[in-house]
Order: sequence, then C-alpha cells, then structure tokens
Amino acid sequence: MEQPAEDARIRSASGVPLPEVAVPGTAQRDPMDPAGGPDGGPDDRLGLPGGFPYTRGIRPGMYRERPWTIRQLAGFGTAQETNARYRMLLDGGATGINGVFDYPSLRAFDSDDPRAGADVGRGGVAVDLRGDFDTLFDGIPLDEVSVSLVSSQPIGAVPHLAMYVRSAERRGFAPARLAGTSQNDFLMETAITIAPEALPPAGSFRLACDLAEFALRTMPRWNPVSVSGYNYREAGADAVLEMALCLAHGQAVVRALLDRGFAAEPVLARVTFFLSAHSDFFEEVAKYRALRRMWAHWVRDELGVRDPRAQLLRYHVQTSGVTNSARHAHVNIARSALQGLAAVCGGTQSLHVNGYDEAVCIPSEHAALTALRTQYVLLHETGVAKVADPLGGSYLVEYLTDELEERARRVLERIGELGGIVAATERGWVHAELARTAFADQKAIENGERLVVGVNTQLDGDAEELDRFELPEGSLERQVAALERARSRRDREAAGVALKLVARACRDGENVMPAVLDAVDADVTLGELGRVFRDELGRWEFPLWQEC
Amino acid sequence: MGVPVVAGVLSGRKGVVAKLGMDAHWRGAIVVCNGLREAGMDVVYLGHTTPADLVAAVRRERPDLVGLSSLTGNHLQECRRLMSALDAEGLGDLRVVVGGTIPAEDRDTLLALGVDGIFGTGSRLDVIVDDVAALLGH
Ligand code: B12
Repeated sequence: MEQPAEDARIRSASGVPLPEVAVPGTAQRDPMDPAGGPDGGPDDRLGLPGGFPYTRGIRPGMYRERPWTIRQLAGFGTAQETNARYRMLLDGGATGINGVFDYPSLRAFDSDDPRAGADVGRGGVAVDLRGDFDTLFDGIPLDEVSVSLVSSQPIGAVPHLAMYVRSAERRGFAPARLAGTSQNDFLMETAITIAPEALPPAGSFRLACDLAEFALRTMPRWNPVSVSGYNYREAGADAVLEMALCLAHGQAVVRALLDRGFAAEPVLARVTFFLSAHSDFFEEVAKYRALRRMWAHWVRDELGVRDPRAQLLRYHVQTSGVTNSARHAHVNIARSALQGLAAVCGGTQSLHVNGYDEAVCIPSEHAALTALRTQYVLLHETGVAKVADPLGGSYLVEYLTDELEERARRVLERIGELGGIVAATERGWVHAELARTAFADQKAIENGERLVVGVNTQLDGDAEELDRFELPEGSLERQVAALERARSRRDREAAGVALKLVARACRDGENVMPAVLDAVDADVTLGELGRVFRDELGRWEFPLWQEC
Repeated sequence: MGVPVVAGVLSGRKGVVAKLGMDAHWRGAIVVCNGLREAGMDVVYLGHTTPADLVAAVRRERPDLVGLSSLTGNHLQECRRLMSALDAEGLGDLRVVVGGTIPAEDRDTLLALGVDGIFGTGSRLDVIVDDVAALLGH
C-alpha cells in the first residue's frame, strides 16, 4: 500500500514531523519575506550573517574571515604524558588545546584518595598541584594558543583555573593575556554526571559564578563558563532539551552575574556554549541557527542590550560520542565526518571530531590524528568554508529552525515555571527528563525505529579489533609519588592557614578565588580544596533514581 | 529483531545496581535499571559504592542480582576489590553481572573473578533481561 505524503511517523530525530518535500509554506512564516516579522514588521528571524538575529552566523564572512578553531580533546596519565600529546596535536595542525582531566581531578579528589585509585589518569590527565600545570603546559605559548580547560564541574574548575593562572604567571604570562575557556558547568556536577559527594546545585552554581566573576575582572580573554549542551545531549537529551537546558542555564549565569554588579555587555561577550553534533544532519544545522536566534532575541528583547558583540551566541562543537559503535569502529570515521559537516554548516566557532575508537577507549594516536585530518578535509575539500550559512534559505532547514525554536521555547517556559534551572535541578526534574529521553532512545534502537549501522542493522562481519589505547605503565605511581613529595616538602603551617581562609570565604559568601589562588601558591592540593568546599557548601543526595 | 521481553520474566526478583569507582557515566546503568524494572525486577540503584557500602546494601536488600557498571576503564581493579569484599563476607554465591566499556580481552579475567555475565557497549536490553533470567534460573 502506498504511504500518504504526510506520514506522521516520519519525524526528525527529535520528533519534528517531516513533509515529503519542503516548499514555500512548509515553514509557518516565509523566512525570506523581508516584511515577515511579527505584525508585518521587518524580518527579525533571518537577517544576514553578522546581522541580528545572527540566525545565519555571527560574522559576515564567517570562515573566509577566520576558520573554526581545530580543537581536539587530549588528556591521560600524567601531566608530562599529556603535554606530549598536546604538542603532537599542535604539530599536526590543531589550532587550540582542549584539555581533559581524569575523574578524581574533575571532582577535586587527590590522586592518592582511596576512592580515586582505579581512575587516576584514566580518560583525562591527573592533576593535584599547581606544579602539575607547569608540566602540563610546558613550552606552550599561552598567549598565542587558546586553551580550553575541560574542568567540567565547578568544584574542580575553581582550583584548576587558580593553578593554571599561577603557573602561567610564573612563566611570564599575565592573566590578562591568557586566552581560553573553563567549562565550569554546575549541571555537570549535579545532574549530568553522578559522583560521590556532589555539591548541592546552589553551592555548585555559586562556585561557578565566583570563577566567572574573577575571570571577568582580571582575564579579559577568558570564557569563564561554557554551557555544555553537548554533555546534556550525551546524557540522553534530544535536540530540543539540549537547546532549552542551554538557554535556561546560560540565562541564569548571565542574570547571576548582573546581580553581582556587572554590566551586561562584558558578561554576554564572555559566556560561551558547547554543543553536540548528532547524526540527524538537517536538524543539527537548524539547531545551531535556532539557538543563535533565540539567544540574540533574549539579549535584545529581555535584557535590552543593543551592542551586537553582546548578542552573539558563540560555541564549540563536539561530534556525538554516543552515536559511535564499537562493533565496526572504522565506520565512526564517516559518522563523525558527517556530524562535523553539520557543525560547520551550522556556523560553529570551534570543533572536536571524535576518534574512530570512541566507543572503546580514549583515542589512540592513530585515531586522534585521523580525526584531526578529518577536520582539514572539511576545511579544505568540502567547500563548506567558502560561503557563510550555506543552507540558509533551504525550505527544510528554515522549517526545522522554526520548529525547534518553538519546541525549545516551550521547554524553556516549563523550566521557568519550576523556578529556573537551579531549582529544576534541585527538584530532580532535569534528571528525570534525561533518564526518560535516554530510555526512549534505547527503546527506539531496540524496536528498530532508529536504525544505527553496526548496532541494529548491517551487522554482518565480525567485530573489528582495534589497537587500543593503553595507559602508560606506572602513571598512577608516578603521580602519587610526586604528590607525596610535594606534601612533605611544603610549609605545613602556611598550607593550613591558606585552607582556613578558603573555608572562611565559603562561609562568608565572599568570592573564593583570591583565597584559592593563595592556597595553590602554598601547595595546597586539589583534594584538600575539594574537601573544604564539600564541608562548607554541603554534600547533596542525588534525586532518587528510583523514580526515574 | 531480537527476542521480545517476556513481561514479568523477572517478577519477584530483586537487583542492586552500582557504579564502580569514580566513574560518572550513569546513562547506561539507568537505562538498564529501567529495562530490568520493565521485566518485573525490583531494582535498587545505589550509585557510587565503596566495597563496604555494597556489602551493607546486599545485607540490607538481599538481592538476587548485583549489577555493576563501569565505562572509564577501572573495571578490573574495582571488580577485584568488590568481589573479594563479597567473598570475605560470605556472599560469594551472589550472581554478579558487569556492563559498560569492557574490552573483549578483559572478559576472561572478569569471569575468573567470579563475574557471571558481561554486557558491553551496544548490548540490547532484551538480551540482558533474558540472560539475567537464565542466570537466576527462571
Ligand atoms: C555518553 C558519554 C558521556 C556523557 C555521560 C552522560 C551520562 N550521564 O551518562 C558525558 C558527555 C557527560 C561524558 C563525559 C565523560 N566521558 Co564519556 N562517554 C560517553 C559515551 C559517548 C557513551 C556512553 C553511553 O551512555 N552510551 C549509551 C549507553 C546506553 O550505553 P552504555 O553506557 O555502554 O551501557 C550499555 C552497556 O554497556 C550495558 N551496561 C552498562 N552498564 C550496565 C550495568 C549492568 C548491570 C548491565 C547488565 C549492563 C550495563 O548496557 C547498556 C545498554 O546497552 C562513551 C563512548 C561510547 N560510545 O560508549 C564515552 C566514554 C565512556 N567516556 C569517556 C570519558 C573519558 C569521559 C570523561 C571522563 C572525559 C573527561 N575527562 O572529561 C568525561 C567525564 C565523565 C566522568 N566524569 O566520569 C571514555 C572512557 C575511556 C575508557 N574507558 O578508556 C569513553 C569510552 C569515550 C572515549 N573514547 O574517550 N561521557
């Protein structure tokens, strides 16, 4: 039997119904009509690249003016081992650093904490002391190369930045010259990843804002928060929830900093985003465009800010790890390339492409270099960099852009009703939504609604064997030995006093950063700082998963 | 496509599910908890647990199954610690399954530690449910 043209079952990955063919009129409003704005006013939905509302990109010439930053993730073992990997990537054509930390370091536990043992140096680099940052960035010109510290959780982000700044100063780089980003996302600590002894949402959010306040005052080239929609998506969100969580969180950060007395423009110029590139190509392109438009409207219409530089939603993209399969790992090269193409068609400022071994281990050297070279295929061979917003005006993409905007707006309103993103997290709403969407996604794969090569279709052939990345021998032992040496050599009294001052800043509601900077100078360790934060700001029981 | 889950195949059974070490990836563990619940199992999700916490939870909940989840590569070290803690407490007979980012070459080591089933990345829920049911002597 023939299918009707409008088959309600055919939808984009996030549930937008799709027409057989998109024509004028598929989108409710004609995006190309110059008088297509509300009440017949001028179009405030599309504009031109570099013009309000930036749907089509943040700069007129886009990649003709400046290619996206090629920023491949790297981090494992000790600072020395990771420094070698950074240099390999920079030598191979990376134009920025994207540094990941191991789990104890992300959560501010020391490498010799009994619970840390089996995770030291895994999935990221181990750091305990300011000195580790000396080694980590040795030989790298910190005023030329921008450095993204994937310090996802505020409890770790605060000490990491203090250690980075103090280490850079010793090498002659003043804070004002440092260009880069702290991820510093309280949702990472309280919803996206679970952890022993998480801070409560309000405490984590406060630390994130302390970091941001410090950076805005002293580090004009630093992005102090990177609202990490990528991570929300990977935890289970669809594109709509990814968008809504990003907007709710970004808006909360901006408002909190305005409450701390900042003018809007400098804050807005520095809050950045980190988004996913999933597999539904057109939906992903539409997602970036819709988000830019929604952000610009919020800045102009809600905050009344007219400075164009303050209206731009700037972001980094990572191709979606969760879409990658272990079985036929080399197919991930094609998958990630297509996802990367969506990211640059959508106008990203920066990109990481996953290694083909993503579902198996952190990238081997070969996988990392193949991913890096894939970025150059996108840049030099596809032609995508030659014309800004190459898909602008496509009936389908404009329709999806409008639809995603509408759907994300509804979820954003729901978060508002719950009292905003911090309250929605405290109430467990964020967790429940993510768990629900993650389960629905698994079901869609198992019942064949969503086909994934090597997972539920095209299963022929044996699983591929890979040369897996192996953690260098003795990493853990070297890290722990160096930590013990530093503890025994430091001035114990000075370290103790410095820690007390951090505790006092926490209690008195002062910005913790100055005290943390002094503490890392006194060789106070990451784990000692983490313990003080937990003692002072509290430990939070995650909302009961039973209900999810 | 696969074997349809027999409704209630795990009814009356109890499981506790925990994350290993400091691994923070909860997506897979939660998806599996929900899959087991749909098959009728009463599942208690513990989140992160030290060996002592796990032993305490086992004494408290008296589960038929312990499910462990790890994606960071810590599974060998952590499973060794947990399995010996269970053994030391005389709980060595309990059925234990492990899921997550588990490389093929580690399977034998895990089985030798006393793990009864391994479900790596890409495992289907219906297969997990069936295998667990078989393991518990359905
Ligand atoms: C999603 C994801 C994330 C999300 C996690 C969101 C969340 N709430 O879970 C985000 C983006 C936050 C994240 C972060 C990180 N990640 Co991650 N992540 C992944 C990814 C892409 C997919 C995992 C996933 O959820 N898959 C979907 C679920 C349904 O599948 P699953 O977990 O495998 O579960 C299935 C089976 O394994 C099994 N199963 C799992 N648990 C259990 C339990 C039981 C009892 C049973 C029976 C079965 C079972 O059944 C499930 C259904 O099939 C994997 C790579 C990959 N493609 O597998 C990397 C990966 C696991 N991550 C990795 C790393 C390193 C990290 C970071 C540490 C990086 C960093 N330094 O910042 C961070 C921090 C995490 C942390 N703090 O611990 C590495 C681990 C490296 C290694 N093992 O050697 C991987 C392999 C990626 C890589 N190649 O680098 N990650």
